[in-house]
Amino acid sequence: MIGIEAVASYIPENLVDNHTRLETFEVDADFIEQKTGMLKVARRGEGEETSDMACKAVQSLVAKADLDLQTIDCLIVCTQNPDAHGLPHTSAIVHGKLGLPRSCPVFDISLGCSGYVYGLSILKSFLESNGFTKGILITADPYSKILDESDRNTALLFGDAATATLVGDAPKWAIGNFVFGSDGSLGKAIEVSKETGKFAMNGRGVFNFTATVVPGNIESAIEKNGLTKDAIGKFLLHQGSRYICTTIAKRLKVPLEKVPFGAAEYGNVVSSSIPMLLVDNIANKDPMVLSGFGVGLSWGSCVITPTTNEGKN
Amino acid sequence: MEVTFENIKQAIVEAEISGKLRDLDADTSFDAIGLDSLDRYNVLLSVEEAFGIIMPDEKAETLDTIGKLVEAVQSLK
Repeated sequence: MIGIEAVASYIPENLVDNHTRLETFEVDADFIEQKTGMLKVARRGEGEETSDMACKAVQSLVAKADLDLQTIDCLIVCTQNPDAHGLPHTSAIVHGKLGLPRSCPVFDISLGCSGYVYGLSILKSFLESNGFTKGILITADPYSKILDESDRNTALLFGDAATATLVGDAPKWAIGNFVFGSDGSLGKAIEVSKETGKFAMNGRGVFNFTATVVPGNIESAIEKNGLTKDAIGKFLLHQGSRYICTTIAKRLKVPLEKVPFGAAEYGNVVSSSIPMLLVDNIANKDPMVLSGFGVGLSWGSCVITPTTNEGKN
Repeated sequence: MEVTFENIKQAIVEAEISGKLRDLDADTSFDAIGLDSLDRYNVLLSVEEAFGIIMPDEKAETLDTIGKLVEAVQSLK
């Protein structure tokens, strides 16, 4: 059985305290603390590339899981902010920097906040269909490359981080069934503006999408796994904002304590937000929902279930 | 459902956005009771869902009281 063995993360040292920017953005502390929930946002170091962040997450995984990188059969990088212009693909650059074996296929997937859930399904399927036993899924999408730092809708929310997940045949968490969806007609709600070259987000459009689409997607995933909401120990949602997580919890009619918010100290880190939460919840004993949603618009949810393996962390 | 002040207020109150909305009259601005942009998105969505309408963004930005919301929903029905 292929599943999740271990998860590790990398957060840059440079953290911007949003309380120091209240006047600049004309927002009050309550908005930061109770609504967006992002007290700080992480920013990559000067000259630090996407592949550098990815490698640091993998190095953390190596230490955590006592991993020999020469045993890795496949590596995937999920990013929409690759090194340079994405050619060569960032996963190839990571392959070179980490000295992975030439027999190890690597490729990028282009997805935003839904990317971790899609990436898990892709990597699991790739390993199973090729008879492989170990793969790494990296999320590394530094939005600071495209943020307009004067835009209060986005600059106060988004942070930089990377994660690395070891997926393999000695899993701590079994990966169950997935339910995915897309609506390209709504894509302009989250995009890089052709005019400015900067990231822009329609707050109301994104709110309506998450509030109306995501709860149903999560319920479908739970049902597809033969479970009920009561059997779910934690709902690990993409950390768009504290308000979004609370809204989804209310609409799902699940207790707020089952929907952790963990992004306060680093921000909305796009496809890294779910695995960042997973790091803190890896020892849980009940099934968990993973639900990602965002750019595309794109969404996907799955259920992971603890195995009897001890795992690597 | 008939588009009235009471029915719109009921739809908003049921969304549990803010306790302050219970005592709101037609002309009190959302700003005055501390509703921020996220709360206002939520108010609009609860009304859209209750009355089966879609409020255009450009119109939505001008709706800062329940009274204005009632007029806007009536114009879309």
